[in-house]
Amino acid sequence: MNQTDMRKKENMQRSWEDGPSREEPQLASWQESAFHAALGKLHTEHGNLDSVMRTGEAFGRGLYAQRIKDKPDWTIKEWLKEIEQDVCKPLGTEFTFTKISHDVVTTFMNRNPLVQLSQERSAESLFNFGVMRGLFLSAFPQGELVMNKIKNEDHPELIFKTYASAKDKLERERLIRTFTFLKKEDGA
Amino acid sequence: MPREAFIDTMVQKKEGFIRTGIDKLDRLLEGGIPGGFTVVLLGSPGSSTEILVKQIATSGNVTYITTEETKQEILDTINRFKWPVPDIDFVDISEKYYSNVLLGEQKRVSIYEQRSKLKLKELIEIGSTAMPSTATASEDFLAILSNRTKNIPEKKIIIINSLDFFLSQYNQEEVLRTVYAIKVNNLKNKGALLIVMTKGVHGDLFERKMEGLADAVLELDVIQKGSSFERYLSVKKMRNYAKKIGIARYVIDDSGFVLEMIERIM
Repeated sequence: MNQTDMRKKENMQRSWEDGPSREEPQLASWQESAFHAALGKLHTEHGNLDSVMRTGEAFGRGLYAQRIKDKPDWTIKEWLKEIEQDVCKPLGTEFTFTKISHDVVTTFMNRNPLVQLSQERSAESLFNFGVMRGLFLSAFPQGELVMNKIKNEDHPELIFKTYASAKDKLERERLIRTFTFLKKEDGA
Repeated sequence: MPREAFIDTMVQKKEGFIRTGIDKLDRLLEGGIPGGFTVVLLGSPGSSTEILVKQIATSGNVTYITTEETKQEILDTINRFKWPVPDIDFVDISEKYYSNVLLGEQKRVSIYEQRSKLKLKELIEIGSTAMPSTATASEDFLAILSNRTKNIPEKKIIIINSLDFFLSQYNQEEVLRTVYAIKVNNLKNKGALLIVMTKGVHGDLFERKMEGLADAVLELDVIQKGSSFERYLSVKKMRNYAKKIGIARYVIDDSGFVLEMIERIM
């Protein structure tokens, strides 16, 4: 096998199309365990979606603490690079970035392996939002993650802002209320 | 002592030990929690950890820091089990959190509930462009935790239910530093510090750090066997008391947390 073939093989193994990394199965199983804990809390603690988001945030902060080398002066591009390499790819999660500036990144999630694990779409969406929020606020405590709109079927557009306005700071609660309402509408 | 035995002996009151108020748990621990100990209670969802800590709270002389349920919800559960209601010193972070953050938002979002036919896309678009009716300032919950666990009288039980909340709001290192400070205070007061944490969320490394920091680790697990569930409490670590390490099966009945059988490991 020549070098090009080897590189191709390596890239295929790292590709999101292959799902979670086989080199680090413990990472995917940690995510599954955290997601199941979130679903467990949803069922045992008054069906409150806030507990799902909080579990996602705690997991995101855990990922940051254990996978990313912390530094005080992150730029958003550096943070994205680290997250993409050390968290998203090994987890089999794929994002498409539509705008990257020095303080705002706009993206939507193409693929998420958790979708196969549960029929609870509200819980899965809020858990993922919580994970990304936990990862982001660990590096940018003054920032906020905003869910803007559904870009295409089932893929919400996420905006990472390194400096959040007062309105942005209410985003988390707005989403919980919205998804709680939608869950009731669905009869879930 | 036989390797496996039903718990039928009377627990002796021991000097320097803090009773949990659950007789059979005190027997498993051979007298209770040694004074000054920090105990980490690791639970899986469905293992009823919250029932265990509420029952311990009814032993009296307890400061209960609640993040998941309000004081009223805890008292309702205590009344449902008909446990005595002692004068528990509640630190209701859950109430602060929901009243400061979520209820302030309720007014603004209630408009969605009047528009029940809107699609998700429309809801999210409208929500993103709507101006909030109230501005909210978030409190420093870790500072509240730290302040309310200082200057606590001697031999008191402090229950933190649960650390998950703080780990969703703050970085792991900040939380660990605060827990360490509370541990030092507790050691000085010869009390018992009980910290509840969900297993499998925060990562092996953090769990190991917490287990290293703790003097005792109790783990509650629920295992499906056929169509039924069995619950187990394991004493995974007990500093200086290795013979206390063991596993007990438990059930939750009308009286609360009932330990059924002990198996000693060492």
